[in-house]
Amino acid sequence: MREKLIKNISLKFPHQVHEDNLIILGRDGELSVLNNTSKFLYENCDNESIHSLTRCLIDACIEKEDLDEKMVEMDIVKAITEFEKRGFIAFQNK
Amino acid sequence: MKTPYYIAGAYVEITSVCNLKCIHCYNDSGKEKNEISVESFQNILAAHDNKEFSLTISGGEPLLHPKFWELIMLAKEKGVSDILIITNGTQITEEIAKKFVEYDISVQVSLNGISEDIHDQICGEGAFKKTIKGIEHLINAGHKNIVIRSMIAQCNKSQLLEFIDVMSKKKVSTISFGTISVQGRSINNKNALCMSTEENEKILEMLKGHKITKEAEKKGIKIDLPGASYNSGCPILHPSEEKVPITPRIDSKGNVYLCQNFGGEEYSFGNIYNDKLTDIMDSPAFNSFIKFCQMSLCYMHDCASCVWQNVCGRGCIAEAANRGSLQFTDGHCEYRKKEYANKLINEQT
Ligand SMILES: C[S@@+](CC[C@H](N)C(=O)[O-])C[C@H]1O[C@@H](n2cnc3c(N)ncnc32)[C@H](O)[C@@H]1O
Ligand code: SF4
Ligand code: SF4
Repeated sequence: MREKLIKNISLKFPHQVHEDNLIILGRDGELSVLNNTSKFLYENCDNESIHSLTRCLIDACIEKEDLDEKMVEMDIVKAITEFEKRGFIAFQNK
Repeated sequence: MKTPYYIAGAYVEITSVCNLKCIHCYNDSGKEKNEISVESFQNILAAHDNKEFSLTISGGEPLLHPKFWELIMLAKEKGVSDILIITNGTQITEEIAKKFVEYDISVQVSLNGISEDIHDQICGEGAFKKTIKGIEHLINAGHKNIVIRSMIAQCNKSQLLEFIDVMSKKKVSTISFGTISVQGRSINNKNALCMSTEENEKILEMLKGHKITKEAEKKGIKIDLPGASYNSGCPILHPSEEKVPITPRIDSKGNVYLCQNFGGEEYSFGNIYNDKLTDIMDSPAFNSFIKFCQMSLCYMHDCASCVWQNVCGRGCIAEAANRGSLQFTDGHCEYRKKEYANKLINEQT
C-alpha cells in the first residue's frame, strides 16, 4: 500500500546543512530550503508511515500537550507530498 | 583585441632582484636575477593605444632595475600617463622622491606593520626604518599620490587600526590593505601569516565600520579595503555583454599571465621577449588558455556534489591553481556556501 512506507532517497541529491536548515539541489536544478521541522521530517522519514512519522515528530516536540495530532498529520502529509513532488522521497510500492 | 576583452593595463615585474626577503613574498624575490629588457618593455608599451591604460611597475624591487628611469621615460614618451610604482620604499632617496613628483608617478609603498618589530618580522631586520625614511622623502618632496599598502596577516592583525591612525596623520593619499595569497615564500610561513576566510572577513568588517577609519576618511584619505577575500566567479571567465578589461601580469622573465593572481610558468600563455603584448592577447594560445580555464571550471571535483553548482561561478581560478590543481577549488568554498545559503534563506523569508 502506497501510504505505508516512505523511502528516503535523499543522498542522491547534493545537499548542505546550514544552521537549522537543509538546502537541497533537486533534480530539476531548483534549490529547496527545508526549515527545522521539514528537515526533521526529511531526515526521519525513511521506512516510516505518515502515522509513525507523526508520532515521531510529536515525541520530539517539547510542548507535546498543545499539539493536535490530526493537524500535525495533515501538515506532514502536505510536506511529504511536496517532497515527493520534488523527487526527494518516494513511497515504497508494497 | 578581437576577443571579448581589452587590455586595460599591465602589471609588470621588471626585476626579480630585491634587497629584502619578506616572508610573505609570493614571488620569492631576491632568489633569481631576471630583468625585463628595454626592448621587451617596448613590446608591452605597444598595447597602449587607448586612453585607459594603467601601467603598474613592480618586482622584486623595481628601483633596483639598472635601467629603471629609462623604462619610465619610454612609457612617458609613449604617452602612458597612469603609472604606479610598487616599492618597498627602502631605495627612495630625496632625489628619487623629487623625480617621482616631477614625472607625476604614483607610488605605492609596502609597509606591513606600524611598529618596527612587526614590520621587521615580516620584511627583515632594519627594513622598517629604511621604508619609513623613503615615505618621509616622498612626503617632504610634496608627492600628492602616496599609497601605503599593508598586508593583513596573522602577525599584524592586532595593529591595523593603529596603522590607519598613525598613517592618516601623515600626508598620504591612500591607505590600502590586501589579503595574503598563499604563494612563494608565504607557503612556508603560513602560521605567521595566513588566516581563514572567515577571520579575514571579520577583520575587514571591523575596519570598515570603525571610527578611526571614518575619521581618516573625513580627512580625505582613501581607505582601500579589499572586497570580499573570496569571490563567486572570475569576471574574465564569465564574460558579460560588454568587453571585459584585462590587466595581465608580466613576470621578470617576460612570461604573460591572465592576471596578477596567476603564478607558475605552466599558466603563462606568451612571452614579451618573443611577441608584442597585443599579439599575445590576440593569439590562439591566449584563446586556448581561456577555454582551458572555462573547461576546468566545469570539472572541479567538489562542485559535483555541491548544492550551488548551478549558481556559483567557482571562485578564483588562479587561487585554485596556486593551491596545486585546477581540479580543486580556491579554498573559500566553506565561506562561500554559507554566504549563498544566508542569501537564499533571506530571499525566501
Ligand atoms: C612582490 S612586491 C614587489 C614590489 C616591492 N618590492 C614591494 O614590496 O612593494 C608587490 C606587492 O605584493 C605584496 N605581496 C607579496 N607577497 C604577497 C602575497 N603572498 N600575497 C599578497 N601580496 C603579496 C607585497 O607586500 C607588495 O605590496
Ligand atoms: S614583497 Fe617586495 S620587498 Fe618583500 S621580498 Fe618581495 S619583492 Fe622584495
Ligand atoms: S564547491 Fe565551491 S566552487 Fe564549487 S559550486 Fe560549491 S561553492 Fe562553488
